[in-house]
Amino acid sequence: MTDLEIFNGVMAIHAFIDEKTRLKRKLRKFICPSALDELKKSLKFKMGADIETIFLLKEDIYVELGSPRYESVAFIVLTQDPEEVQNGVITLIGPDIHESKGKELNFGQVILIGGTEIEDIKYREMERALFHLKNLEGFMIRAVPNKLWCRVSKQVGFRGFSFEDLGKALMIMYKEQFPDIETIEILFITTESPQDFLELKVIGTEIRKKYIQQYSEHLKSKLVQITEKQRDDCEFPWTCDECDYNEVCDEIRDIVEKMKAYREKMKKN
Amino acid sequence: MNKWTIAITGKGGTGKTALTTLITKILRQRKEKLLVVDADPAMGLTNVLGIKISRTLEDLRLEIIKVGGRGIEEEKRDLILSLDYKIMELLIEKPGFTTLVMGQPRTSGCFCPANTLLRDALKPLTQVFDIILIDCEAGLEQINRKVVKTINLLLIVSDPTMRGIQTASAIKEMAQKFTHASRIGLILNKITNPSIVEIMRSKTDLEIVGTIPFDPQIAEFDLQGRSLLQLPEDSVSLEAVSDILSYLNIIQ
Repeated sequence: MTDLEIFNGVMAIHAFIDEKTRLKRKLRKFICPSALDELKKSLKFKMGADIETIFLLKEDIYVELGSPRYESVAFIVLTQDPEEVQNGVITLIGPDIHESKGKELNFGQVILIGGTEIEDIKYREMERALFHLKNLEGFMIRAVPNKLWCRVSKQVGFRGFSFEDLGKALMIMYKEQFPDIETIEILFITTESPQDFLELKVIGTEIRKKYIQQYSEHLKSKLVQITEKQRDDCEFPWTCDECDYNEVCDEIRDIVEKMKAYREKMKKN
Repeated sequence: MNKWTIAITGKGGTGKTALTTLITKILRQRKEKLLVVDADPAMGLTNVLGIKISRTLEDLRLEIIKVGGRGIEEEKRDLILSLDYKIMELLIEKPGFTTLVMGQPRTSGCFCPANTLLRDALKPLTQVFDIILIDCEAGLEQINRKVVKTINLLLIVSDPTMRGIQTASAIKEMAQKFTHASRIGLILNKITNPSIVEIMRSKTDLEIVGTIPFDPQIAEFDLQGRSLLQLPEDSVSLEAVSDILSYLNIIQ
């Protein structure tokens, strides 16, 4: 039995959608082509390496999604049974981007992925891919685990940018990056109800439970109390070789190097 | 690309923060994108601008140092991915301008790689702005290490006293060590007697790029705890600052 079979995330998400339908929430479905080239053809906005990662200031945006002042939840669900996933379907609960000019919206995004060859071990990698949607025209994404904060530019907003477009772009990105994906389905939610987000967070936590457990054990075993090492008298009269914090700086230097490599990789993608 | 990176410095109490606020008030009404950086550890600027701070650059620096201290690969990778989010969280966006607060340094070590990381991460962001305006303490090394490398205009504020302009000269020398400011100017603030300006001019090798009269209204706003951004348009100090910006070709 694999980790993800303990709790059926796909069924939980579908049950969530059914419940919201029953509650008569504003709900729309978009059906996208399943073949990658057709999917690409149907995307109205530019995407790819030639689109520069943009930084959008508040005054230049059409809509803001999931900012720290609002609700935000994002995760992925994997299944080895591709039939469970409604391939190519985007479900939107709540207002769409193009009809929310000048607004800030709560934002939830769940991506359901099916593939017989997809192993649990891919979970982290696939989850991290969410952070990478950086070359979609007029779309800025900032992410921390489980949360997304996005801005849509006025330029594409006035041209009708919608969740259908965002969903397609996500499908393209995932399919290109992970050829093992057989089926993919996306849920977006922008309702004002904190309850909706709470429910989704519960599902997300349940899915990630095992992983989080492993991670925190890993953390505990390696935790170094940096505060114990701090001194009050430092005016840096020493060279780095003599400094007590040298190891810490080495680690951060490593982060700097990895960050550079990461940015380079993003540029090439 | 930034057209201007302007640092405002000077000894305590000369009116750096008030000047930064008045410049902000003038520039926010224009189309150029403005970033205002509070690089004073006392964080007085946000107060005068009427802004509530939630998180500072120093908070993020500490977080980086902690991750470095633990040295766990998973955590390091998460930090790399999340850094842009965390940087954006620091921005306070108001109509016409955006603010970034540096905060008070709270570590005893220098942790310079953390500064490198922050400076690199801030780069794409700072490039969005046409003008970056920095309210600094006398020393400029903090801003240089963590935010921007080059400053093209350094404005030193002084009161019209001999001690004041001597300090201004000392600040200039210190500043030249840390930054490569292409232009350095002195602003004399709180002038009550205009004839003193000429005396001061003969006593300093710094270029006096402008003067601001003593303005009781500023003291009044301070007492009432009101933001200087609400200062009336016909305020004498606002007019003086506007003249300085024109003289420096920052506005036409």
